[in-house]
Amino acid sequence: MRNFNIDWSKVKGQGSKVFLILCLLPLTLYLLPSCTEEIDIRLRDGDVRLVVFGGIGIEPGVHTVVLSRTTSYFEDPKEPLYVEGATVTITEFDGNMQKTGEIFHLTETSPGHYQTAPDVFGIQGFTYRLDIFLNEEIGGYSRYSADAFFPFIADQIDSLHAIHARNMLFTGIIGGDPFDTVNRPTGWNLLLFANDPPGIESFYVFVTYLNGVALNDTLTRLLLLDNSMIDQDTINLDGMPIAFFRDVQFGGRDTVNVGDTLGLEIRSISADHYRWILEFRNIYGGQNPMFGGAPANVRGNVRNMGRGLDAIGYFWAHGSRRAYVIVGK
Amino acid sequence: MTKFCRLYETRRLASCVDWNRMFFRTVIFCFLVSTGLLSTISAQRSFTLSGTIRDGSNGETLIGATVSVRDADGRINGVVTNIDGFYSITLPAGDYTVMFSFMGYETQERTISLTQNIRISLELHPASAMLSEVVITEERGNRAITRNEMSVVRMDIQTIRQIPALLGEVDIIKAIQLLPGVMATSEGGAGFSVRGGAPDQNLILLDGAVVYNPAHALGFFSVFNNDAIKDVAIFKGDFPVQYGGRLSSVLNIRQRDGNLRRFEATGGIGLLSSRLTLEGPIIRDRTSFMLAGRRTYFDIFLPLANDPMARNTRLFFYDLNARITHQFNERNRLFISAYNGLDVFGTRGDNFMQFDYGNTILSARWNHLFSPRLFSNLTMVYSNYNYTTGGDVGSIRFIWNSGLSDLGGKLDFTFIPNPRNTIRFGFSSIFHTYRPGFAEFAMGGADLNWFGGGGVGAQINLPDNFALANAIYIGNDQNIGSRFSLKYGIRLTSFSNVGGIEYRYENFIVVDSIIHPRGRFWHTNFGVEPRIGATFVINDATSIKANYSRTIQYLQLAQNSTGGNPLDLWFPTNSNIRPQEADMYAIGLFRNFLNNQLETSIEFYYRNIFNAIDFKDHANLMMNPHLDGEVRQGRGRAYGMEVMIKRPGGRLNGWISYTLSRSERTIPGINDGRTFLAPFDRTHNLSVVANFELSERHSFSATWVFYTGSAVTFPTGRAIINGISLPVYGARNAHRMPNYHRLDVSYTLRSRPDPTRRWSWDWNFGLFNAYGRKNAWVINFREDRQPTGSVRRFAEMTYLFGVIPSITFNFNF
Repeated sequence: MRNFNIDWSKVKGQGSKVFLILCLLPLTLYLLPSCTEEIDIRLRDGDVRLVVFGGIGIEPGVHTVVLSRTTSYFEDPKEPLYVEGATVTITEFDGNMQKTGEIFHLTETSPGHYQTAPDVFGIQGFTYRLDIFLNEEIGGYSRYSADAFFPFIADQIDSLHAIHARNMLFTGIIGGDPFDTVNRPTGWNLLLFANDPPGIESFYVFVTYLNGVALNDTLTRLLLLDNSMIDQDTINLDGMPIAFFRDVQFGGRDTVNVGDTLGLEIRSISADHYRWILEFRNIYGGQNPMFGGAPANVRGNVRNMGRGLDAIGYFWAHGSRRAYVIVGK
Repeated sequence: MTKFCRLYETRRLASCVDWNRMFFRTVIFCFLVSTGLLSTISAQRSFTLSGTIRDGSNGETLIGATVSVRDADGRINGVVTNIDGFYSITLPAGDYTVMFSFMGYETQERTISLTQNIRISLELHPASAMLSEVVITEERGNRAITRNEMSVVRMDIQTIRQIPALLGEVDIIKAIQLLPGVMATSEGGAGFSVRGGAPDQNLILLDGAVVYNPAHALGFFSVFNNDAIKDVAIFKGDFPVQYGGRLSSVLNIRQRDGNLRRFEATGGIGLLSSRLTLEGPIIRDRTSFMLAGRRTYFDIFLPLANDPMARNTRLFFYDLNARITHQFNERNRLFISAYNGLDVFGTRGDNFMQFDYGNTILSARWNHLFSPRLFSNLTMVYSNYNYTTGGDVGSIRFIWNSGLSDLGGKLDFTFIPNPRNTIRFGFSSIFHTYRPGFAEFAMGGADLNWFGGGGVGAQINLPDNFALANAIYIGNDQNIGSRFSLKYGIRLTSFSNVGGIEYRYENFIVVDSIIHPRGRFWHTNFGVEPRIGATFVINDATSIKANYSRTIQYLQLAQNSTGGNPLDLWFPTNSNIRPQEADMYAIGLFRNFLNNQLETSIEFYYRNIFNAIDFKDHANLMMNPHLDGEVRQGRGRAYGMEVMIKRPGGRLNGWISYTLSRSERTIPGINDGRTFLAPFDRTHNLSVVANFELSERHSFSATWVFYTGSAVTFPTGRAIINGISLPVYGARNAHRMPNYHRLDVSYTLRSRPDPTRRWSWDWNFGLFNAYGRKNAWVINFREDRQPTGSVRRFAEMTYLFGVIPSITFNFNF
């Protein structure tokens, strides 16, 4: 066991809150014989706002930014209300915030989906500026802009292992069972061996793959890890269990067999992007009057260039590494 | 006024102490002049009638008993006994008729010739039930009209016991939530908001010591065992000058002294808990003890459960109250009180999960009479609140300890130079220790056979911090003529951060930290709190009262949820957080009807709050050493009207209280700086409390409450990001929860009255939420994916209580 004393000036502290709530939630549920019931609530409609989601990665390829607009809460359009006909560009700045001269023009390939050319990639330490010019104003404004810093890729994957054992995770993105300490189930544990370089704050997103199919690549299922809670310098990634696949999965999904390929993608994201994901999940998770205050909008980074409301959503830049292991070998 | 009252901040403590001393001297001089004390000293010969009034049945002192003195011309002067049952009245030499009375007790009358100081200590005996209706109305008279105080409600424990309660657990805090201007902050919770203030703005005192967390079981029950309590008073404004430190209210709870005459046992067996109180004399008529215990026993049945997790669970809370009262002689009395309570939740055997929290309180008070006109109370207090939570879920272990404690003393004097003036002065000093937390995480472990045999761990030590709070005060209650009374006083306070770590912020982000050595004063705030009030009695049944109070609060709770939870942390003001201040203005009309059988009042209040505290959006208040960076401060205001119609006695007694109010905040950095409603804002709040004595053996009680749903933030739109629906919010607290209403009823069957028997009993049957109203505790927005692929969105409320029956058996012998 390694113990570290934490320099509190480095700590963000979100991880602790999540864990604490995880511990206390069974308690509140246990004590409160509560019931739920559907209820009629009339919601006042707010201003329509632009919604932006997209980013640029390290691997050369097509990078997409999706534009849509908000709807009233209970409205259920078949598709998001995509914003068409906008002019979208990404401008590259170097580490000194000087323009490198690279400007990527995004073209609308399907309604609301704006894509780069297929050979575009981001560079560590650079900043990418998204500029949006709408051909139809939303809330009286048409110009939006966002800056995304491309963080240094801190992770160096040494190897990935799949071992058959009892569950090593306290909770798993897949199949973990945090409260069954007596009969911890058996299955395949996916273990990561990597280095988290000392001296910098690292914010990681883990995405697992089974035979090439991403299992948790949605905002609500991403596995997050940062070194602010663990210690000031480095996370011990020396055999860290990342995912667990039960031998008997619920509903027969995601069962791992000998010969399957398990993959892991580690994304290094910026602190702000990490915070955005946490806030997104916080809001998505609903409310409990005992924890958390008044809900508030997730703070994105796409600014209205006039005096109107900022866009909802996020524009990111991140690097990633991938590794694979064949189960049973 | 603002200039006069502004806070004086400095890091040079010494010069401020000088300033304090000079100011205090000036204030005392002004008082002596204004009260006519200087002239009184050489005035005509007058003598003092004083003494202690006790309950004849058990020797317990009676708080608030009336002593009325009528002179030969029929002029009446009156006083009431203080918290020790003591009274003192100084009158010119002459012949007088004195009446001693107390609600529910037989009045006694004496004729005296006051040619020297006279001491009359006597005992009043409970009136028989047949007499009580008459006695009650006679005794109370028009005290509510003439008493020079407003915005205060005193409740005796008998009244509180009549109120139907959740699971039969008689609860002081639930009872005060039925008063005008006081509201529950969440369904069933022990948190309460007074006149639009936050729950942490209430000073809750048990025998003079602060109770930091008055709640058990996540807030559903209060920590006060009604068998141990004698008297409750809540000050919603018009704060007595001896109290300070919170903006909104003072809830003053006193424990019983214990029977001085005979051994007595009182107890009860309820669905949730059982209680037992033992009391009696240690030395007859001199020393008494009271020992009370309460424990829930839900967990006793858990081993019978089928579910292994339930079988393995520890889940209970308990309270222990103790008090020893000793009378050395007529001039010296000592009171020692103790309280300890704990909530325990966890698993047996292993440490899979644990969550324990509780208060420990000790207080000792020495009451000394220098003379019949000058007496003092020296009080030493210790208060501690602590919690431990943690878990061991195999590959992760976690433990977190946190709390705070107070150690302090206060010396209070009361000086009654003549019947026209009652001067109170004194000082207090409390040392606060804040222990925000020690936490340890450990991931991995040997039993898991990690690859590499390692794991990661972290120890989190949030640094302790310390503060010293001082206050000096002086105030006078003055009658000017027979119709007009004035009350004025001033309280000077200081709050110093002593030792510990100081963080420096720029734009709410830490840029520097300084470690101050233990004992070093590194930041001090000073405050001046004037209090002024007046009562004008128009006629025997009508009076008008007005009041202004300033209060300052130097510590706050890191709580941004409406319900609150036991992990919420108290933290002090310092160089980053300015103290919250409030100016409260109130005016009221008081009128009695039907020969004082019906008391009514209407009060209007307006409160201005400066440096009101709230937390930024997405604030992280747990285990965050940089809490100060999450705080935002601004302005607040609350105003409203409170109506109370009360029938204090009679076969049908009770009250109706109605509050019309608004509470707002305007805080830069929150809601784009625009004004928003406080979460405890309720437009309407109505409570009806009725108790009907059918006969000596049967009584019925009912309460009905209605209030506007609290102000909440609901989504005003929806965005789809990454295929997931994300709610989009508009202005903060712009929506309302559905209105809340609930009826509780109870029926009490008492044993046949028999004076020859030492024991008595009663059965209490209750229904909480009698008509099964589903009151929303929280509303969440859900999605239901239909087989057709479309998504149905709906609002879903969580409600806590259906109809909850209860049965309690109480006994006394």
